[in-house]
Amino acid sequence: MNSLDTLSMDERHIQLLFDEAGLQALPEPNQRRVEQVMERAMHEKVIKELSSFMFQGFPAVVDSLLSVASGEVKHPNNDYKA
Amino acid sequence: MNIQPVTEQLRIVSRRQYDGEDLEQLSDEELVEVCKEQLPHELQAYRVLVQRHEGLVYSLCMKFLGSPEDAEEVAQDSLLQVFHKIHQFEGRSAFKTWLYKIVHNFCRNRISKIIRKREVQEAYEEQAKEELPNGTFDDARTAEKKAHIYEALDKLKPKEKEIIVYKYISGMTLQEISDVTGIGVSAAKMRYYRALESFKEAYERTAQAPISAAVSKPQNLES
Repeated sequence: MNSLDTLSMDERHIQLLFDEAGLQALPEPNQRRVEQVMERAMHEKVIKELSSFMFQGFPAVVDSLLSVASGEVKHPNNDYKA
Repeated sequence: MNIQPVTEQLRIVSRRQYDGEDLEQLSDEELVEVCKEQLPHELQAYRVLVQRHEGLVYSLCMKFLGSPEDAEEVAQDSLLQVFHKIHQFEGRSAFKTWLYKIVHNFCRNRISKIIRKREVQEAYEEQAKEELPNGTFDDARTAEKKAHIYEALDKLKPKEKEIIVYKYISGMTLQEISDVTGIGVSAAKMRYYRALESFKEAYERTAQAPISAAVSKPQNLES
């Protein structure tokens, strides 16, 4: 028997060994661990949405307020000019 | 192969409205497209992905790290990484391969932080003891094989252990192993054959018997 045959027999033996030990059975998800992941994902979601507001929404709000305060907002009708 | 129709179909999939049961019918690739549309604001499709893969991810982490606490943390970190980086997944490999790559990197980082190897061995031994059933002779034999396998894996170098776990527990091909570990296919092959020899030696030392004696022999196995 040459070394390639020995190798492939070793592979088959090892494959059988792992099969018989039941190590390839598809593991079931654990609901507690799934919920822990989802809880962390919820926190990440809140952080992302807050960051989005702080870095995009908030400056836009401040900019609008400043524009109104400085009279930059123009309207053809004098009644609506700041 | 004309890729355009496939990507177009995936875009159509991602724009539809889904309820929970519909999402469970989708393939991984379809779920990824929905996640790209939904995340970070909606988590429905992401939850289905997590549910589908959590067991595998945890199991893989347990095989590499040996400690349930470490495995749980690393599994969570890996799945959270999917949450953050899903928009970067381009679909060039299967989603599972991409996920395994994330798990692989996180496990590697964690292993380098585990200072005393004895902690890992003790965790393995504890885990193996917990898994020993009080049942039949066959249950005991299976548990014994499992314990010997874990012990043999623990004696391997980390990179050899990785490749044996990927090949014989996760059922990956050498190409997939190459994609996950970031090494070429030829290098993966060489590493695999060295790992095979090391595992065989380690197992036979642990079990104090050749591997061929440990398995049931179908008639066509011996030439």
